[in-house]
Amino acid sequence: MTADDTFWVTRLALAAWMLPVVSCVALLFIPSGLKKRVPLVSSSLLFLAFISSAFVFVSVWNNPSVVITWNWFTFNGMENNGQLRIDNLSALMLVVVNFISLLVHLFSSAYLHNDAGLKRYYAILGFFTFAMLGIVLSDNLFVTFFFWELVGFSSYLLIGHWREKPEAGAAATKAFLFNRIGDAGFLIGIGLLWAQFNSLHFETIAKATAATDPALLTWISLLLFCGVMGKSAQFPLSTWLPDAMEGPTPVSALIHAATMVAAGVFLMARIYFLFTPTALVVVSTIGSITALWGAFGALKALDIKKILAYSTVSQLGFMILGMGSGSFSGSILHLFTHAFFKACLFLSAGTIIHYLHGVQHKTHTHFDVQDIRNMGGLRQHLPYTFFAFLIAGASLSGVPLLSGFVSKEAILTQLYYTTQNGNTLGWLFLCIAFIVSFLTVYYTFRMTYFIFFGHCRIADVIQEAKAERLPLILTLPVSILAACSVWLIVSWNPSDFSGWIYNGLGNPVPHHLIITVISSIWVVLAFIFAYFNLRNKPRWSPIRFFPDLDVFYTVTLLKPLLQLSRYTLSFDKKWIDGSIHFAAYAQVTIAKAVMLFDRVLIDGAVNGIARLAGGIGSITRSLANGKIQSYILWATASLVIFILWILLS
Amino acid sequence: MAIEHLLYLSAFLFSIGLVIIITKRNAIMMLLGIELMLNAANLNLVAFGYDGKIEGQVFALFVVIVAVCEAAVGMAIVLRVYHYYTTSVPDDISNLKEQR
Repeated sequence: MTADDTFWVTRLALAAWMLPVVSCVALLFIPSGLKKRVPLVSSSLLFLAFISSAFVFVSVWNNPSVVITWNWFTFNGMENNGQLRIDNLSALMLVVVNFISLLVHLFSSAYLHNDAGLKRYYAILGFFTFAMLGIVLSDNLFVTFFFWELVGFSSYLLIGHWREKPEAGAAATKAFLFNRIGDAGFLIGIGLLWAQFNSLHFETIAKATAATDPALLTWISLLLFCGVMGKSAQFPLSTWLPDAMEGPTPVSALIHAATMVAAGVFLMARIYFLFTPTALVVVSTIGSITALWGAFGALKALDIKKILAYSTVSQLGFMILGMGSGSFSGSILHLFTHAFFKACLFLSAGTIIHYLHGVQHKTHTHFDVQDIRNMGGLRQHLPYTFFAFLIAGASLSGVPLLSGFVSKEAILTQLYYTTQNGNTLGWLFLCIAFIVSFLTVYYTFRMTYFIFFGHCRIADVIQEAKAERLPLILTLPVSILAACSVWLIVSWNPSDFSGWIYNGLGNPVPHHLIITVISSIWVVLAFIFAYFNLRNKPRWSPIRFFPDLDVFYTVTLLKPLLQLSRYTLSFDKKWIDGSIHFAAYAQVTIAKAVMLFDRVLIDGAVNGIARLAGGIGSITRSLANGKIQSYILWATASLVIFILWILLS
Repeated sequence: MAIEHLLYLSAFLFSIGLVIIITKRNAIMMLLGIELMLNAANLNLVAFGYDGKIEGQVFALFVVIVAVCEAAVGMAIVLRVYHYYTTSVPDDISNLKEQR
């Protein structure tokens, strides 16, 4: 790249980063009379951001990376620089985030068109995108942490967008708190890194890791992984993600596809050099538990959005599991493909919910529009959505010719190569990965089957409503995302993952034919199993042994904690408050005694003297009553007294 | 008749005069009380001259004359007061008391 190219890449990357926040600020100042224009303003700014990021992507891809350094602040005479890095990884994410965010902006304009908080919603959406792009571009752990927290904060606002719903508030708080738990470890890890390397710049640390004690590195990487666990909903911090479904559906699409949960996996790729083999075993273990837990959760759930959320948890676990294989490329590739098909699934679910809401509104009936048991046979009513859902769902389950198959294969191949290097645990992880992909097929099939096939359980209601066709603004983003779920987005060859994206990510492994064959057969087997299982058995058979982590947390953590807080509360009330009250009462009592003393003795003395003088005065005054005879009487009387006194003394 | 009897009579007269001055509501009656008291004093003057001394009786005469003048002046004042206040009751004329 020439210097001129670097100049333009830097400017365009900054534009792609800043335009969402420009949208946020612009919406703050837009007069409320122009409320109808909010989606237009916001979406066009996002469109510009997307175009800029596409340019950045094209010019940076497979070229040397561009690093921007600036002096952030000087503390204690020590200069702290912030760094941004534009390389293959961040350019890829830049495009994905801006693209998904743009489509979500478009979709929201129809989905939330008469929402009261539309302006607030779009402003936070822009801010959310900006925060995520900050993580993506950052080349410094401190900068990352800064935007990491902003992502958490704005996701809190978006999940709790419908603030009149108490569940939404609870879900937002839960998401925020679970992230806090993870971030505690993250922050300690950052502190350790700073103590060890005196820098948080990724490149500086990467150069210094070779001469560092591996045990310390293991600890640091696992502490940093805590943050990843919180953000990417890894076991045991995974239960916030299904609850976060209380937010508007486009927000879920954004959170699940591009912004929030992707941040964890992305950060993992950025700090991958820190992870020692020991740490990677822990990472893989956590990932496999999460993947299995999410898959079972998706099997059990009946709410369409919850199924998708559990499936995200499972897929994220799958990515983290893939991270343990010694290369992050497969996981990032899966993150990339997952972004498109999961966003497509969520937006399709949003379309279905929107459609059923419309039906409900017209016929004045009441049923849970998100419960898949209330759906069925919707393929006649929503043909486009059905088609998009089918493609994205097939991509999720890893059907050949679709992007999900390719990226899943990349992870499986990487895991396969670990076993070839004599890692016995690798076989276990490979088996778990295969089980997870089997379960993925099962729950995706179940979900699709319930929603679109069979007889429609609410056919008469839909008939009565005579709902009109869906607006283009709803179907267009879904169709684009469905088109992005085919294999072409990853590589030219539908059976070979090592296409143009995978090879650009670093540490690529060669393609292995046996995995392709096995996983294709495996998917077909899973489909056959799912079909016959769902056909012959009673319609919904929840998985009995799915551990409900929330109940577990309630019993093991919440109840003892609440009990403890009750004790401390009563201690507070009894002793701390008691002593304060006692002191207060004592002071008041002393003050009252002093007041009494004042009133009775001091005031009493003063008043008494005054009253005495007054009394004497009034007595003497009563003598001078203006009656001459009484003067005479008193004169006589005093004369008599005087004479008697003289005579008697 | 011892001198004490006369002095008792005089004291008695004086007391009656005093009581009249204090108790009677009319200024004329008060003047009469003053006359009684003067005469009680005269009686004393005369009584102390019982052993041939003439000075007491002369002084008594002098007092009678002064008393006449005094009575005339007193009567004139009472008349003026009566004209001014249209009453001669001292209780109703309380200008000596502070005005409220």
